[in-house]
Amino acid sequence: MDDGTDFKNIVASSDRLKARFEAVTTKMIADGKQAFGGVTLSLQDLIQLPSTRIAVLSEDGLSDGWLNEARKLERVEVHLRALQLKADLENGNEKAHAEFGKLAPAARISRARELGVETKATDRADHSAESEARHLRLCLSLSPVARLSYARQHGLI
Amino acid sequence: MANYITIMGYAEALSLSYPRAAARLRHLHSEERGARAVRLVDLADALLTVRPKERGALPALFAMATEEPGPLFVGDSVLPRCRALIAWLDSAQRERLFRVQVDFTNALAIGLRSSAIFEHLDALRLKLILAPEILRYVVIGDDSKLPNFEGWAVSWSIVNSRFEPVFADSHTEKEAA
Repeated sequence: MDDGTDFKNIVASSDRLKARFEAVTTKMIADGKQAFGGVTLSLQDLIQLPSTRIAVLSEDGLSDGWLNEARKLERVEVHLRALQLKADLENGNEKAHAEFGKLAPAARISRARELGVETKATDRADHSAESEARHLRLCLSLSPVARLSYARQHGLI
Repeated sequence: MANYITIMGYAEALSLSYPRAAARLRHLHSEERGARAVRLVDLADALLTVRPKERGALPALFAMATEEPGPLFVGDSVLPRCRALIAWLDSAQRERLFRVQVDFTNALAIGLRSSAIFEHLDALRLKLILAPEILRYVVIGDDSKLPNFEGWAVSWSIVNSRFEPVFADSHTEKEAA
């Protein structure tokens, strides 16, 4: 794909195209943010997309398929992968945890912070006596070495 | 965590010759460390070989011991060991142990909502003496390393709770002593 210089020149040559470009991209940035969970698309990203060019240069309006095109942008792809990983980790997907476990402990923590993973270990205050007792019994059926991490996970300590 | 003592350290603290110290510790379980395979005896076991008239040297014995960081877990089937150790304590030491047990039980009651751990309470109170920081306090009265029970009691209990007979048979107990 070209770097969009020609396209920029064409847009710059006409006030009408400039206005349309502005309107279309503003909408795309807002929609993109919503669709991709917080990614802010840059104008440079949008210029790459065929849908943007068609929408600006023709009278056809923005095609609904633009989100699929945007999905292939590197920035969006990376972000979506991170979101998926975060969801997997939070839902206790074993494969994701195994992958994640291969990282060095320090790397694991900083990666988790980057992803904004929040552990399911909820505040102790939410624990009723019954659920605590259930977790404790389960916990005590584990080997002594494994008990503490289980207890931490379930907010017992 | 555990406190270990070498034969050399034991001999020095109690002013014994090396062979006599070695003879006293000979039957105890030991671990070998380092390239020179230095024998390390768990201080809790070594204490039982200290004669009544040597009790004045106990602080020196603790000073000679090395503290190794380790898990909270004090070991499996340790109740006979705990009973033997408690039987060895003098009255002031027992008084300190009792105070620790009360604080511990209290912290456990505050730290938990349910009673699931409490079926292990009697065994846990006996096992307390094997926690190195508690052994140090009970035996020589040094409270500088005592844990803050409120934070410690629940974790320690979770690790050390186990279904094991609270009444060990007396034969094993004599052997341990």
